[in-house]
Amino acid sequence: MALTIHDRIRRGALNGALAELNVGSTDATGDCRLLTAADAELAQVLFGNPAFAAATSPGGSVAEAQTNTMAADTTVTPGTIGKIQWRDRDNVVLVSGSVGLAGSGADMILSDTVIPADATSVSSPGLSAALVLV
Amino acid sequence: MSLLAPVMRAGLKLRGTLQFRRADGSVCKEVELDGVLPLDLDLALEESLEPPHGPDHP
Repeated sequence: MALTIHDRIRRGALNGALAELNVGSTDATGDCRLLTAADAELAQVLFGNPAFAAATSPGGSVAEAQTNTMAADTTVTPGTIGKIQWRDRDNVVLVSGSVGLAGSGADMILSDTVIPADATSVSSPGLSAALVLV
Repeated sequence: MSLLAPVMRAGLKLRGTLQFRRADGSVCKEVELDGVLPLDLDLALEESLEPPHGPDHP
């Protein structure tokens, strides 16, 4: 007999994981940090609070959630992005991974890893998280 | 030996767009982000399937 998992399990697991971004009291929100390979911060896009809207089940074995409005960072440092972090409101790193171009073998793939010299701010129209559970 | 583990295979997929802007507000670069973080879940359900042990269950 094949194992079956109700969509509520997937949504609950994703909602629980993403709610961790809202934990803490030091900052108003969690954040998504872009760093160099040597851990120097280049930019920090702020999540909303809560960071993500409730997960939905678009079908199949996937639960998805979209970020609520994210605030722009106006203190961007030009450079090459080598790492990404998602942190909660107390700046605890919840997700951390390497960043690179396609084929680099990095955890997270960016279509371009260089923050241009004339960039003064960075924002995101939205990020999505999807939990595949089979 | 685990009878059922791994019972669930999971991955967290993160996607999105980052927009870098100039001082005048115009977009100087738009970057797509894509990644999958593998999650290995081993619920070790075999323990709940084993027959009870102890003095009440010889």
